[in-house]
Amino acid sequence: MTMKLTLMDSGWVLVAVLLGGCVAQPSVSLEMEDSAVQVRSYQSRTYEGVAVTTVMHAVVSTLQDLGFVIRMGDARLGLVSASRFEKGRLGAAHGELLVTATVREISPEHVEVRVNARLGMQPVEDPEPYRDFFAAVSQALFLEHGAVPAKAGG
Amino acid sequence: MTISRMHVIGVALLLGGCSGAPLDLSLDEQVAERRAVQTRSFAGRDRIEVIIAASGALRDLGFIVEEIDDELGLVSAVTERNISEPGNQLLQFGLLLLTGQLMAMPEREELWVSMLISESPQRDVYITCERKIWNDDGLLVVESSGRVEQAEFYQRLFDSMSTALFVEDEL
Repeated sequence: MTMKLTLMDSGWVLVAVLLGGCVAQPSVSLEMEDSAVQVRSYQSRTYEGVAVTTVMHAVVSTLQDLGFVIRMGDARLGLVSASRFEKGRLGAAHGELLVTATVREISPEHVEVRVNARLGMQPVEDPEPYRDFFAAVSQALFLEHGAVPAKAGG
Repeated sequence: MTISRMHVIGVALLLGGCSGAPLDLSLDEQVAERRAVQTRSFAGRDRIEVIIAASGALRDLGFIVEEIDDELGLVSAVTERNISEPGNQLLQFGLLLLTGQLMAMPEREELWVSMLISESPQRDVYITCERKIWNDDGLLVVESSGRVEQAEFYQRLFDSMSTALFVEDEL
């Protein structure tokens, strides 16, 4: 059986192709916004006069204090990944809270910690949780090693 | 038209829920208590020995070790098991007859454990565990999922570690 396309059919095909082209394709965005610098500043803390391994240990034990399970940790790379199940409150959706922390020596006397958190698909950009986290790390360092935290930002 | 106070409260709660609860990363008052339950000292033991005992104990309890970093003193492991009870299907059938609705039952449990072994001579082992439960309809049971706080669970893990260390000593 053969099928002949009429002018009308061809018109509909053309419309369908054109409309199909209008469907937005998800693009890969790697642009850095101005606010990213600000976000990075409250995601980072520098600690003074304390060994990088000590800070790394304090970061991991603080994550555990906060109920996280450590999924991955590499002392040589100074990298820790952890997760915590967040139960939605007041109708908020539940989801996995994922945290990545990097700990690196930026000078013989200074160690920088950077933490990123993501709740489900959404990056956490509110400064408050990061402030609370670093306060807990500082407390752990002070109680266990007598170290004093330095400053916010890199 | 009058709007009752209950309606106003209901709408406020719904709108409040839409904005999402604030994320809390501050330490709560129970942290020291929890830490005491979830920590045990293996003083005088070599750190590597304790790490090996930790991974052995986890495997004895059916876990798969996913991550070990001896420099950091970290062991992470996961296990998954079927938790459906033999009588669940009968219960489901009974409830279906009574209510006309099929009720979902817990079917699958996933446990993630991480252990941090300290560098200090006390050789403290600090464990955290999280549990997730899924029903037989594939949906996550939110209210039963989250941090594991039962002291017996940690006790059992530490006992299993002590046994693993004892066995190593005997070899």
